Amino acid sequence: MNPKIHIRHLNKSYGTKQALQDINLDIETGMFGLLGRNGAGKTTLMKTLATLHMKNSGDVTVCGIPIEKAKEVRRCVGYLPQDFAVYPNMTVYGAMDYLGTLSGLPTSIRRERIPQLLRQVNLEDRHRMKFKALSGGMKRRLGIAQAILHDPEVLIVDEPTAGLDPEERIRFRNLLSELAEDRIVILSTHIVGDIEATCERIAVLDQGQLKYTGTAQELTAKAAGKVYTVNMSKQELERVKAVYTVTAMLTLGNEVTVRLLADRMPYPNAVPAEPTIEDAYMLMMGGHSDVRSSMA
Amino acid sequence: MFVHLWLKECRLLLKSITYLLFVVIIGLFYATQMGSQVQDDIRDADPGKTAASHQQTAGSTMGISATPPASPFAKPLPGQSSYGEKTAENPATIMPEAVQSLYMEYTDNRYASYPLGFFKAVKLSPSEQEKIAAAITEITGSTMEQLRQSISDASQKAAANGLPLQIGRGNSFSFPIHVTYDRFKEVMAGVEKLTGSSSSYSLQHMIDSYGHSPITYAEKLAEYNDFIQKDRITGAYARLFSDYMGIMLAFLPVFVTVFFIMRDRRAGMQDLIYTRKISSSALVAARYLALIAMMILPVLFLSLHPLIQLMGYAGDHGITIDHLAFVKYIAAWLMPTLMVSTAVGMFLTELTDTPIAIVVQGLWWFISLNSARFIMDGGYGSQLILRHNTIGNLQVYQDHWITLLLNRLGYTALALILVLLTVGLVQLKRRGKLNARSKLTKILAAFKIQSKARVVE
Repeated sequence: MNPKIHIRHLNKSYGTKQALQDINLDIETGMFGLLGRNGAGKTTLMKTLATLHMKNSGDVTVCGIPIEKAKEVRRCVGYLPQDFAVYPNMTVYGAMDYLGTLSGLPTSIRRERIPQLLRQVNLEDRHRMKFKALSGGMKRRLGIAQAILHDPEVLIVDEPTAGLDPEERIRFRNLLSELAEDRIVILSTHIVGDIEATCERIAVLDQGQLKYTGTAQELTAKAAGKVYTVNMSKQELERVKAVYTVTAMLTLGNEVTVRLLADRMPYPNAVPAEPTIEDAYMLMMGGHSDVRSSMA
Repeated sequence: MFVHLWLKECRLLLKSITYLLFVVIIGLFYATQMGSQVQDDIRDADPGKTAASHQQTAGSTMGISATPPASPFAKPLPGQSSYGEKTAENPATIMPEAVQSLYMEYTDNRYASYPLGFFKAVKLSPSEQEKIAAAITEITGSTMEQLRQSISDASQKAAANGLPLQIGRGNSFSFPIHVTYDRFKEVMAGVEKLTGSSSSYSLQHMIDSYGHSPITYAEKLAEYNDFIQKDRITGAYARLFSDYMGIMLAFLPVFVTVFFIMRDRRAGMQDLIYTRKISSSALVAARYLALIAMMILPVLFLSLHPLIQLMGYAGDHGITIDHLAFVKYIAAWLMPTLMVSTAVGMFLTELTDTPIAIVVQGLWWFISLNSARFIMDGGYGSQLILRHNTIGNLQVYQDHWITLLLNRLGYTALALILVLLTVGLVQLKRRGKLNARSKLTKILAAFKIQSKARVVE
């Protein structure tokens, strides 16, 4: 059975602040990217799906189970919070074993699955290491291992690559892609590169509203014919930034190569460029975003 | 699965510094309060060493017995000069000693009072002081001036003999009593209204503090027989052991519990745990039972010390003891105390995500300990901390059996209710419906802004 998530007219507010506003979304097997600036509502949506927050209104089903049946939903959802941590003095194996027990896994299953998963996330040799002694990347990999310990059909991963070095980040993205072969993996991030490299389908949230849902290619296509590169002197840069949305810059001596968004050819020496998902995202957000590119 | 989780929680507790401190403190408290009790009593029972007049306190700093007994192992012999004293409503001692205390406090216009166990010096107005003086005059049949003169004369007489003035029954000066005991009680009831119900002049307090009478040979022999035959020695020591351990178990567990429960938030692990399949009731129950088991374990272990010594004595003297006496008392007497202090810790910590439970339980502990100070030898009431700071006194224990039973059952029920409420709180927190810490932070922030605004104005 293919796992599915259906969200219809989902609303969530904290006091007077509307965190999610009439969200409609269908998510199926594979990697699903959730993109948006800080405070856009990504974590609220993820926590709602992970049963940590109650919705105000709307219908949400996870693997066919209404979200109100929290205990049943928890059986099929694995969650890696943004700031993953366990008791500092717990060993890697101890943490897995403890969390596996909380997931209701029998001893025999835990003994079989924990070494397998630690091997999969490349922590097999560190199983006796204390959590506090692990590097940032190791901690995230342990986070993924604990989230899939009970073999969930849905894996929710909140900002997993923040703070990782490029090598760890690529390794981590590849790991998530492998896991997405037979389950839903929802990846929340504000790093566009992570989405571009791994997610086929994405959603963009802004101020609690869904601004886009579809494939990454469709989003990228929205910026076709609107991306240009221009060479100019450093002195001209400020004037250009005031008029156009600049998505990248490369400085060489006194000269700057600027990548910008424009509806038509902005300068005679401008060269049309192939759009990226980041260009399309910036175009959608009106040029104002704290979303970072992995290339920046 | 539940058992596995419980064992894991026990192991986590075992590795926590707070728990290790709990074990050390409770061990030290036992060692200083009761560590040598059995050994001393056995040694003092030796006929070569035991003097009939020898008196020994049941405990040390925490135990102040009004009529300290000789070694309970020593069988009383007929014809001894004294068998000690017991608390009793004896007008012959109550009236002169109470009026002596009242006279002293009247002179200083400083009346000791203990509302909720806290000391408070009560100062009376001139008109109230006049009423106190009238009460003293009626009871003694002497004016205040006459009393002052009599005390002064007695003092000079004592000084002439090179002795300090000693006031009281059998000493150079004793306050005369010119009223019946019934009238005395009526007058003192008026005094109590002026000085407060928590002063030294309530009838119960006067009996506890000033009422004593000699123990007869027959009474002493009956007490000895109770000790050997009914208590089978171990019962008497198990009660004293429970008295001391109860003081600790009414407070220390809240520290262990608060730090144990707050570790989830400190480690940033709450969301991780909340999204697991386990039910809130199983999670709370596993943790609660782990806390109870791990904290009762050192108490059981400590009880082996007096038990082994008593087994040795009983073996040498052919006495049958109850080997399970300590276990029974720990289960029935101490367990409810431990259950309540742990449940309070769990409930308030889950409710507020702060260590406020330590303050609340600390206050309750202090009040309970102080309110029990007039029934140190047994008697019991509604206090969380039950006192029985004496060896024996089986009769009082038996007389108050129903009160004791209701007390323990009541606290057990309270603990279970708090645990059930904690399950409800965890359930709410798992669905994001309760975040007291966030609310507290907002309230504090708003308070700060208001304070700053006031300063600017």
